[in-house]
Amino acid sequence: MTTREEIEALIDATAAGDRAAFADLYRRTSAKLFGTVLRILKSEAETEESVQEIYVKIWRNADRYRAGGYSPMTWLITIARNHAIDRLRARRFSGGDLDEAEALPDAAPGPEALAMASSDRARIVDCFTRLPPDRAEAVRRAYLEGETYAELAARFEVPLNTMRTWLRRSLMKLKECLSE
Amino acid sequence: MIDAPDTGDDDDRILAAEYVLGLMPAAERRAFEARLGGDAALRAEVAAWAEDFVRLTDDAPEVAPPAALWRGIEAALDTPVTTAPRRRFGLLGYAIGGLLAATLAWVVMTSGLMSPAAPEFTARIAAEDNSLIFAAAYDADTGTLDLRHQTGGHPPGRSLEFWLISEGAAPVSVIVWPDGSAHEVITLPADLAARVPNAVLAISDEPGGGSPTGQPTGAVVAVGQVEAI
Repeated sequence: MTTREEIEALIDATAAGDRAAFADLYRRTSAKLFGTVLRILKSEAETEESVQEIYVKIWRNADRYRAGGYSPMTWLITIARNHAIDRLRARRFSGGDLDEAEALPDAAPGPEALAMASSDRARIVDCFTRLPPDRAEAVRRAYLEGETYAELAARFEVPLNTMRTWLRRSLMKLKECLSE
Repeated sequence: MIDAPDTGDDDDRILAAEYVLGLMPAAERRAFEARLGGDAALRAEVAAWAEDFVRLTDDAPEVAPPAALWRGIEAALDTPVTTAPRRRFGLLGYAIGGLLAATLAWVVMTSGLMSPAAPEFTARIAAEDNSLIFAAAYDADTGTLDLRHQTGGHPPGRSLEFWLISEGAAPVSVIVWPDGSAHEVITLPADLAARVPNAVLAISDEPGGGSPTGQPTGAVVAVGQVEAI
């Protein structure tokens, strides 16, 4: 098990150009990042290419880690998630070939499945259960599928402004719950 | 509502969440990132949401990447990426924008890194016979041009140079493609960025290291019209 301090030290060393530290960082974190990106992209080939790009990004931006105030794994996973979402959106917007992606089943569980997934579950998962299921689903889709307001409005068959109002209220409720 | 004493804080809290989720329209995100530069409390809101949302990935199982992946990363790191245009454009672009140093640091730090961004324009830069193809995606929000090699190469000792061509203006060099690179991201200066939406991207065959004159000297080997998504 790698501690937060160890990951942090490895990011700092990476920022200083230490290739061995970067290799160690990769060894300790790549399975988590790969699994996360695979969950989002649902394509092995795209995940491999993306994770390669993500680690190049991490190498080039490691000196910026300290300024963000993120915990080290959150910083790494957030970069990976954002990169994957960018890719997913580009795929959707360009009407790209979805055959490969659709060949893999949608493994992302809904809010209820998420709630059951772990006994050490995150606060946010508990807080999701306090939202109406469709609202929780909308927030989850924004984070894990990169869906935009327009896409969410179409999915839930409500006007764009209604979607925005819905989601903002849900975020407010989430924050209240998370702050308890 | 104990933790939400006034609506100003509430609004920022929601904006921070929308930023992390990637729900902000381009102009709004730009404005938000500009604020982040000088607002530590807002940065803390962003970090707090990021910490909470990231837990939604807790149940993604760890999957060991194939061994070849690390070799690919090492190869990418060993490929020189510091072509002159990239450096020049990156710094010049923000200087032209007249942004404060603090904002500069934050925007550079966050662009495409801490919030997802959707490309707004794309181009397929291809040779007539499709023997050379690059895909381009331009994000007007961040001013970044994402270039991805898809197929084809160039003669040994020569370089592929990318040009942005807009009506009534001389071609402007965008990048000399680093040998063997699969993917490059270039930040365009503001004046050039404004011309992207109606531009043509072209690739010329140049001496190793790029055109010695600042204008295309060799054959144009691939072209593509930039189109809005």
